[in-house]
Amino acid sequence: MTPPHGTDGRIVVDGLTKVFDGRIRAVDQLSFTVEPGSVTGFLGPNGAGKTTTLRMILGLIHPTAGSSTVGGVPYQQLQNPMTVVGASLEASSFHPARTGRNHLRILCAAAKLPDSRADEVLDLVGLRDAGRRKVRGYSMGMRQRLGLAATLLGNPRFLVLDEPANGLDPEGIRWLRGIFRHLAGEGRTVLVSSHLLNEVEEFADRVVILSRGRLVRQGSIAELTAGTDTIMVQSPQPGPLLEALRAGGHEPEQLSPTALRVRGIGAAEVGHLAFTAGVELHELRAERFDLEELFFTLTQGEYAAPQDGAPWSP
Amino acid sequence: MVALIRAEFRKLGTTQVWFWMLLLCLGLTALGVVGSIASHKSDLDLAQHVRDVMISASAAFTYVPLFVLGVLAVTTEYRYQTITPTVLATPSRWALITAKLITYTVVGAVFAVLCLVIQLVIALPWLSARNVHVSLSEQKGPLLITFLVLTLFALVGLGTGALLRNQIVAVTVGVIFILVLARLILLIPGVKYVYPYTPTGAVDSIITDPHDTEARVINDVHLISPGAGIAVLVVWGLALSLLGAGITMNRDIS
Repeated sequence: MTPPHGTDGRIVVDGLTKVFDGRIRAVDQLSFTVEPGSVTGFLGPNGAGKTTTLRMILGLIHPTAGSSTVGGVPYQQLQNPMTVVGASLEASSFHPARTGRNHLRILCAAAKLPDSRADEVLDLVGLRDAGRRKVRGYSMGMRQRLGLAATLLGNPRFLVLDEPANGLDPEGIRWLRGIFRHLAGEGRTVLVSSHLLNEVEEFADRVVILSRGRLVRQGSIAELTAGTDTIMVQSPQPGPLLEALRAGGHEPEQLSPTALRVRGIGAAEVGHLAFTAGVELHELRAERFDLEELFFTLTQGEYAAPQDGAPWSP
Repeated sequence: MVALIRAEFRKLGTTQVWFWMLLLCLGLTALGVVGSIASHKSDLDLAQHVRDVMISASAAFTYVPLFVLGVLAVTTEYRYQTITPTVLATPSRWALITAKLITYTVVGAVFAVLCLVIQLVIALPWLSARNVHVSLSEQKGPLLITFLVLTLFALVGLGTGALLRNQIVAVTVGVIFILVLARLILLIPGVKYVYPYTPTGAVDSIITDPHDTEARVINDVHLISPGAGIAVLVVWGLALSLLGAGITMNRDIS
């Protein structure tokens, strides 16, 4: 299964703004780009405006200002959109008395796809046997799989998924990760919103981080976490160790009477400074500054969007 | 458009709602025919009211289940959030409502034909047994009237669903208006003259015997001609559907 060629493979969001009821600014001047051949994680705390943004991209919510395009075209102007964009926004968009297979066959009819495509995607998501059962008997994980099956029906170049890992068991999440990697590997553009930061870190190449409706950071995970590794060190002689590190041009942070954290230095260098100062060490550990740490720093700390309405600037 | 209509037929055919509504329509038709024939004690009296028997399917509130079926065509999409995948596949609300209008016109027509079949299956042998001989060619008018009332009420329901979106509100308000509120209009001086232009008044205008001048006046309100009544139902169905597509269905889906 390879994606169709010949279109701009990017999702471009430009100044999107949504104000509900004239006062609730859910999304504010949001601009970002999703690149082809990658999985982009769309992150933000609850109420950050992720789902509203995705719904604006997909033409379900009218933006107050700004625009978005998928492959250079606004979603509402796409010819047979299911063959261009596969989207799954919630695990409850199914009639409970309808079978999973019939749900897909309805979409096949609307998108002028052969009915056999429904069985193919059911196979792909592991629902072949459950496909003829009514959706009311599906677990949350099965509904997520059915939603994903619907997104794959038209063999689309773009995939937009809102919290697809919700309700999946660890095996399901692992399977989902594999699917995302596979789809991105085929050159497709995959945008996935999630609050499961550890999971996003495992499947996403890039992230777009949102806070209170505004963009706080976008880029590859490698770029965003570069130079942020830290060294944790424990010693019964913190005073001499502190002096040795300061003499070496570093400014350690004292976490407890015996524990220090040092940034911008390798474990070997810390060990060497301690050795030459004759300091006994009980622990020397490199601590990776992960996405979760970055996310909380950006959304709650110094990088969080300001409360007073002034735009954030790095 | 053909693809969208096919999708709409699949939506209807893949749940059991259509079956129960059809059963209700056929049941009401049967009751209507039985009641219509049994209420005339003498054969002579019955022979003078053959027209009443031939419009039983439309006079026995058979149009109410069809109205509800039309309402459900749109409101079920909102109730179960299937409107999201539906609009993702078809962003144009106009294309969507047009496909539903065409589909439910056909569905209404099929239901109407089946109701007429049940009506005739019960009525013809019974009338014959009571020495009332009926020529179907002479009853084309009443049969056509019944067909049109049933077919058009599916569209009125569809429009009501499109405009209100909320299933419980649309079904409750719609049915109460058709069965009760519209008739209460007849009791309000000045306002009562709009009655023939309500869906209920239009049905009365269509099915009441055109030659029965006394019956065509209700509380000083003159019913409109059967043709005008049919036009009123068409306008209600189309106007509500277009308003729904342009206003309520075009709102954010969040």
